[in-house]
Amino acid sequence: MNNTVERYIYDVVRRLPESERSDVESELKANIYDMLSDEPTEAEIESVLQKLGRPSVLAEEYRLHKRYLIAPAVFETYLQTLKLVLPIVGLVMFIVGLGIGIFNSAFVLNQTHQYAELFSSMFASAFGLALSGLFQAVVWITIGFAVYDYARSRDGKQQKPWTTQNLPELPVAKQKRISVSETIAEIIMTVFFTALLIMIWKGIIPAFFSVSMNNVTITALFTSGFADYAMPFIIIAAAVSLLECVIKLVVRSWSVVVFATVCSVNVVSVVLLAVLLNYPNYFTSEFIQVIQSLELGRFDFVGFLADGGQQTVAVVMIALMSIVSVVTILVAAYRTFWKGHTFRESIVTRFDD
Amino acid sequence: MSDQDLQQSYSTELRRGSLAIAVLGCLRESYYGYSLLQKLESVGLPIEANTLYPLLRRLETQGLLTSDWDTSQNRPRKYYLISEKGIRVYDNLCHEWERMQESLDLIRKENKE
Repeated sequence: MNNTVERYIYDVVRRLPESERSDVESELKANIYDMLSDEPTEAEIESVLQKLGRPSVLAEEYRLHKRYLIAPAVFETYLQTLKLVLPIVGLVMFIVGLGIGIFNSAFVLNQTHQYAELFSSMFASAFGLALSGLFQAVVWITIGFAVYDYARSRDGKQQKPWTTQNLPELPVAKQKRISVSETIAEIIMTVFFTALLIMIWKGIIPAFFSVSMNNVTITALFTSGFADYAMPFIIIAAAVSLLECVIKLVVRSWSVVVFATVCSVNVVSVVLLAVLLNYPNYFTSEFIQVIQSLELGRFDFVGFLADGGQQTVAVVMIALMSIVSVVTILVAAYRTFWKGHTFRESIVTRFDD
Repeated sequence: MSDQDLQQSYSTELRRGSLAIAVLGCLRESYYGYSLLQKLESVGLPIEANTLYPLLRRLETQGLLTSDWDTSQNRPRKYYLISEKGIRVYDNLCHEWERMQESLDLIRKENKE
């Protein structure tokens, strides 16, 4: 048996399932030698084997069942699953990573004031965790689909018969869709600024003004009593806001559920702010002294502060927040309830020409 | 894709569809792989070796052919022959083939008018 021919046959047969190998080997051997003369030259062997073609392609012809990692029939579903799951996994892991980074940094552990170290720790672990989470998600989803396909081909069962009941609803009109990227950006902002806020108020990061003005050094903007009192409020507000974002991510279009959530979240936020700002004396006395010494009594807002009118400031803040909330709710109502052109309608109008 | 490649691809598709019926038809008599290849070439239906051999294996797996290893020569050879089931399938295919021919001729006739 010629070495080249043997090697060719081996290269074809090794790609086939074990049970097929010896049969195909015998057949191929007989067929090839039938195509060769009794004392074939290397050139002749080359030409005959070329006629048979690439071993991998020939093996594919011999294969009884086509093999795919993800079968064409389910590939669309596979891609959709990835599109749905990956943003969520990436996001969650990012946030978890931020948290882990914070608590692992020397900043928190040793109370050193190395901002650079804190932020690098936060974002390193955030990106690291997000990336590894994404890879894991891809791997598990792919494995899941591959296993499902393998089980299906084993059974030889066809898919369940399709009926018109299985048809999905028409996609919502463009303006009804809630953009995924916007929602995710919102989540990242909420988490980031809440974390920042907490750290500032807890004095982990020294506040804005480490400034000496007129012999008064301000180390903190808010009194520490207020900072402690405010902590749960901040956390609840952030949690509620995140809940709204999660619902938006899951539902992905403006519906009554989403609208109700937006309304309640805004109402809760305003109420929280109102209750929070009922706290007497939230600005530190140093801060007030500085403002008074600036002699800016001309400007109303600062004037109120200077007169110690923290109540008035609170009222102004709550009013501002209420206006923002009302506007937000109105916009949400518009997005949810305005009967604009749906997908169906836009098709019909096009054919009405 | 060039025009020639396009033409070739449809041509190949047409030929591929006819392979089974051609092979089954020939195998009323016993042939081994290479001799069948030559037979088909001689009737004007050249077929690639890497298409024919796997096809023969598949037809046998499906019970349309029977096979027999002839060990009398210096080298063993696998001879194929159409089976009972194969004959039934072949006859049905032939009827379908005739009906298809008529339909296609009808279309061609209409085109000429």
